[in-house]
Amino acid sequence: MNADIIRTEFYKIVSKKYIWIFVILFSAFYAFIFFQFRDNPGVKYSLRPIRNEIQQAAASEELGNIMRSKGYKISYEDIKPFLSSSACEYIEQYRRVYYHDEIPVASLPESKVTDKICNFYERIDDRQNEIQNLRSSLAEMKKKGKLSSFLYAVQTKLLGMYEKAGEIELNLDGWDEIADINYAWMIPAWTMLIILLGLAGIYSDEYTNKTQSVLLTAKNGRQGVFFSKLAAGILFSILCVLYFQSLAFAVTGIVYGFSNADISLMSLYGFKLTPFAWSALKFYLFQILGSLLAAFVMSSLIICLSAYCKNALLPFFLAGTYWGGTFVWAKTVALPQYVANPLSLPAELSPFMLQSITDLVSTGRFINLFGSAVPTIYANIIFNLIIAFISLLFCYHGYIRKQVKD
Amino acid sequence: MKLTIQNVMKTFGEKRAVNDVSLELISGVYGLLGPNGAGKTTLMKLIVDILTPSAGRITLDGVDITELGAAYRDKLGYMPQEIGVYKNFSAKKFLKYIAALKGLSGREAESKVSELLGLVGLKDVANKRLGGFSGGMLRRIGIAQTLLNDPQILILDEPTAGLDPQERIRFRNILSELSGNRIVLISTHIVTDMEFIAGQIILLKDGAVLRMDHTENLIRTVEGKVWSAVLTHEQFNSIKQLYSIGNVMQRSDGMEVRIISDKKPLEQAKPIQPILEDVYTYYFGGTAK
Repeated sequence: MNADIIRTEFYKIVSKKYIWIFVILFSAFYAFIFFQFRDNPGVKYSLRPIRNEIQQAAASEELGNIMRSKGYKISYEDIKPFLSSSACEYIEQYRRVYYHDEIPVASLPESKVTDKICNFYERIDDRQNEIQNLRSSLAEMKKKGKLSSFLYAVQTKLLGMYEKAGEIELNLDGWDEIADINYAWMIPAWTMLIILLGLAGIYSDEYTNKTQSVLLTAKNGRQGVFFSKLAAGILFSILCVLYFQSLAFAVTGIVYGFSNADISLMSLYGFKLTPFAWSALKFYLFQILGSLLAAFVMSSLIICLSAYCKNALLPFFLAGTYWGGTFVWAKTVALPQYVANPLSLPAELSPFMLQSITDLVSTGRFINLFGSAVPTIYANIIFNLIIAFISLLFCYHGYIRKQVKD
Repeated sequence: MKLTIQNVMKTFGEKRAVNDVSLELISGVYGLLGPNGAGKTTLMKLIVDILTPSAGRITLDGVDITELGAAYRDKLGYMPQEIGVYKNFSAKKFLKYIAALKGLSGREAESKVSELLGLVGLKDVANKRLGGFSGGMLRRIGIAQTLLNDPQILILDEPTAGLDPQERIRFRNILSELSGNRIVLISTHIVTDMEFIAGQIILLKDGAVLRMDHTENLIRTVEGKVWSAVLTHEQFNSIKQLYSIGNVMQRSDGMEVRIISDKKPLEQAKPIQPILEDVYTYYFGGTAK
């Protein structure tokens, strides 16, 4: 590989003006949408200044009992006795304040503290119930002698993971929103669109430009070009992922805050049943790694398709259909409890689920891999790496032996 | 250095584009002549290894070119019929990229590109975008890229198409300078170019080699078969049905016609000295045969 060739291949990709137009439009749109939320009363009137007081109240066993007895439906007045006077003062200071001259601001912090504490208890109980159900189910299967069943293996593994995972904490920070960056489809879809637009013509443009004969007859025009295009393509997709992730992280963080990154993943709203003992930050970093891997897989796929096509449209639509189809399926199909089925597999193994791993790690999900219970997230990684490997193998084979017939 | 083409055949479906061609090329300039569809471009693509023969093999000094791979391409300079460029690249950037592909280091590329831009007369527009170049200028860029690696084997498919007479002369001179110890294979429709450049001519028809010989020998084969006559319109219309016709020139007293025929075609026809164009007309037909 030659740095000059890689640099030129990279220039060929990024010199397409429409890519820059899309990137600028998407960035402006995303920032515009998110900065609208800054004015949201839920964001404006934060509970963060009274975090410790709310945490103390939530830790009260008595409040927990009241909460459970009322079916998690209590009012601010029920919580008030458990809060310090300064916390009450902070919450109630907005009673005579109106948001946009219409909504009384008072109700917002009051309902917010109530919701946070209710939800905190509800999630603890849901998780405990799930653990209890697993124990009962395992005991039942043991009694019936179904120790060799796959479900027994799955539930045993899941119970073990739950028991090691720690406890749910009260969540007053913005990490729910940061964790949701990829779950909302915008950032993954835009990232993929830019990658596909950038790389669809990586080989086919050589045909369109009639440059492939000159390339293929040069000393480094086969292996050298293959590896240089691959390096440039992957570099481009990495930069796309990092750019959009940084943009989303910065915008979301500015609006919702970055604090308390080490809160456990299970403490975030959608993750009460996660068996993974990760922090919110670790989850977010894994999601970035997943996005990078998904970008690598889709880059490999579209580079391969481009090597076999005479124009950039076909690889763009083929790869786009693969990503889009599995994305739509992932957003449509109801994922089964515990073990993937043939219907859910295209969704669970999709590149989108690598970009947004929420559905794969928010609860125990497994795949039966030759009788072993493998967490779906790992199966997804393996499957997508195989796709990338096969794509690159086909691309190498196709390009190295490429013939120029017309 | 010997490039051997042994019983090479290339078929596309039912069509035999190259049919059992065998050639031995050593240092020198070879002109590939043939009408459209004769298989010239296909043969050249086979020689530069961007097409695989359906049968037969091509070797360089006894080793199959596909086995040689990059080592063979290192010796090769190929100018395809259609010059492809990246329109948003400058001439210099494009040539430096091709130089890198040809294995030149950054410093080597810098000086070679500058030298070749001078050679093809494009130094003044080195930093201009290729998108704004005329067809002739792009041809010159094509010629420059071919020479970047100082190739031992030069394969040029229609290199002079689109060049103005001055550029063609310049190109012919460049080739004459370069041809020393190299194998140069040129195909062109401009037969007069061949006359100046090529030492040997390969006549290709329907994918097969019709004849290969030194230019003067080929011209000798049509000696006594080239005639000139001044004809009326009516005479011309009837004679073109019977004989191959070369150049036709309008004159005040009629049409001066160059007729290629084994026998004297008309009473008033006079034998004239043949040129390479007459060889082409003799073997591939003029207006009719």
